[in-house]
Order: sequence, then C-alpha cells, then structure tokens
Amino acid sequence: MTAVLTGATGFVGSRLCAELLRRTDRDLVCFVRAGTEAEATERVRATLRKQDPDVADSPRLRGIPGDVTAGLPDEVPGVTDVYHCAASVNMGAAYEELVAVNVGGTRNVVRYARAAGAPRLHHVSTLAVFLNGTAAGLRSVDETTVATSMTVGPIGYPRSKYEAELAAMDAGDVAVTVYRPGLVLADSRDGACPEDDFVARLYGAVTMTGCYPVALSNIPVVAADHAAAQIVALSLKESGVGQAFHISAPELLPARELFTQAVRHGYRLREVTADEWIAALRDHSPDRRALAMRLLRTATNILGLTPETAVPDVTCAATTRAIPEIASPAMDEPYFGRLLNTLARRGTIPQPVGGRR
Amino acid sequence: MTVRGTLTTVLTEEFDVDGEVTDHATLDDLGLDSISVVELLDTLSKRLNIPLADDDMNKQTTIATALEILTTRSEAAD
Repeated sequence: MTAVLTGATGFVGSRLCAELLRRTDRDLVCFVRAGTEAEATERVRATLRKQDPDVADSPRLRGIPGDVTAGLPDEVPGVTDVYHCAASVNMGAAYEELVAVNVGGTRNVVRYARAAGAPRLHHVSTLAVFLNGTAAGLRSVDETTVATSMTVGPIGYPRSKYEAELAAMDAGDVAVTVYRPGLVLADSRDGACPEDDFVARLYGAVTMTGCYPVALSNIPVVAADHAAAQIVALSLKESGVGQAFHISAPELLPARELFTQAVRHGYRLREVTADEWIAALRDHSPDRRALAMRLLRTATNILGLTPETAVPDVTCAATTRAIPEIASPAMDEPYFGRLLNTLARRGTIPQPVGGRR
Repeated sequence: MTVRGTLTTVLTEEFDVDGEVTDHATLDDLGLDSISVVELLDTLSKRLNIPLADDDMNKQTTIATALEILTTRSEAAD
C-alpha cells in the first residue's frame, strides 16, 4: 500500500510526513518541487532530520518531482490514500496571489487522485473558513456547521481555502475527508515555528511597539505536531468519509493570552485599544515589522479587535470522539516559552528584558 | 503634479523602480513585494493628501488600476 503526500517540506506537511512513516507501514511518495527524484527525496529527508530524525532515513520514503500548480507526475501504482497539504499559507497575500496554488493546486490533486484510482483523498483545509462567522450570524461552530462564502469573508487566504475545499469535495468516486486546523502554533516538542507566519509577525509587531490590542476572540489553536498526529490518526479510521474534522487543542485560547504569555516571559508590553494599536503600527512604519503586521487583515478576526469581527467559538467534538487516544500537549507557559525562545534566538523578536526565561 | 506624475516619481525615486512605468504593469512586475506595497500606500497617502487603506492595492494591482483608485480618492478629497 502506498500513500501520496503533497506539501511534505512545509511546516505541517513535514510533520504529517513523519507521522505517516511512524504510524503506518505504507510506502510514502512525496511530490516535491525539485529537479530530480534524488533531489526531491533529499529535500524531504533534510527537513525530517531537523525535527523527526527517527524516520528521516526510512526506506519507505520516496520523493518525486512534482508541482501542484503545474500538473503532477504519472500515477504511482497502488495508491490508497492521497494527502493534500500543499498550500500557500500567506495570510497577508491577496486572493489573486493565492488562487493558483490553493485552488488550482487542489483541482490538480483531485484530478490526480481520480486518475490514480485512489480510494481516499485527505484534504488539509483551515478553520479560517469560519473567520467571518460572527458577522455571518454564527455564535459557535462545530463539525456539522456548513462553511459558506459568508462565513469565510472577503480576505484572500480564507477565500482561497474555502474554494479549495469545494474543489476537493468535487472528487467523484474518491472518498474525501477534510481536516481544518485552527491557528497552527509551534511544535510542542522543541518550540520550532515558521519564520514569517502570523504568530511570528504578531510577536515581532508587539515587541516593537511595546503594546498589544484588546483582543476578544477565543482562538482555536493547535501545536503543529499535534495537528499532524490528529490528522493521521483520523485518516486511518474507516469512518469520516465526506466529513470535516476540526483540528485544534480541546480548549480555545483567549487571544489575550498570546500577549500575557509574552509578558510572563519577560516582555514589557501594555494593553491598549485596537485603535491605539493600529496607530502605533502606523507610527512605526516604514519599519518592515510594522508594515508586515498591517498586511495581516486576518488579525482583525483572529485576535477579535471588535465584537463583530471576533471569531466564533469553535468546537472539535467529532475529532475528540473519533480519536480520544490522541492527547493534546499543554498550551501553557513552558510551551509559549519555547515558542518565544525560538523567535528570539532567530532575531524575529528581541530577548526579553526581565522575568523568567 | 498630476496623480500619474506623483505615482511615477514615487515609484522611481523612492522604490527604485527602473524602466518604464506602463499602465498594464503590476506592482509585482515593478519589483515591489507585499510589504513595499503598504509602504507605497503610506507614501502616496501623504503626498496626495488622500485617505488610503492598507488593502487598497496589492502586488497584483496594475498601474492603470492604481491610477483609477488614486484619481477617485483625489476627486473625493477635493
């Protein structure tokens, strides 16, 4: 049996790759942007060596050059499951910049899965499809709630991922399961996190301005390794076909806690109104950290800068019911400490001035 | 200075755009990244004394569209 994975060198995809090698005995073919098969395989192994060395040299792993936007290589024989995790997750990009990878890429993967006769497609989406849910009249969201163009709202990233979900569901005989992670945060094992994602930009901006906005959302967050463990565990169940699963820690994170954790870690930050924070970002422009934050229109929703834009409360009851055995790591002070240490070590944020380290 | 003149001057003098600023070129074509586009909006907002939001333009915005936005806002501000 063989599984196919796209996005294997990405932040979530690489952890999904490791988890598939660890939890199954299948061969795993990864479509990677590369010139040759050797280069494709080495790119995946190099990524795994940094975070999952136990499976990095698995003989069951094979990279094949392939780009979701440019068509995929000939069908691999005996594919049972296609995992589609490749996407542009740039929340600051315009819809026009994301549509080719996120929507066109998904259409190509669906076409591939159908041509390969794969029985199952596992599509990694995002809970951002409910980003605008409050304005659309939703108080709370569970796995039976239907995402619509209203719950998605106008911002490029959620729009493109919503259309990608629709494209994934249109897969004919292929049985599709959709996984919607919340805001993906650092790996719980070592605090590894992306260099330029929403969270890195947010901490870059608040440590620069010395203040953070009053934030009303309760955010579904998930550690990257936990997201991968949940997706793989769910994908190995027979049930779940035609269904969406929410991939999140069981408890929502009050948005304010993103900031109070930084204060506990020794950063001197004060809470200001949303308007004052936006003014502070303008005052600090053209510093690129301020400009980068201003690009993130999703912050209005993710943080909840007004009651109308705050995200609806999301539950993940279907996921918890299906895989009670997968425990969430604690999203606590040591966890955020590791995340902040990674950002400080990299120079994304300064070292804290006081408090605990 | 005309709106077109201001836009061309800002792009060539402050954003190091070399070569011709044609109507069908996108800001991406001219070498601006997403962050530079926000900086461009700030600069134009000050120069033309008009309100511009951070999402009024993006990398895929063409010069023709940018001129349309700037002209509409300038007329509204008059």
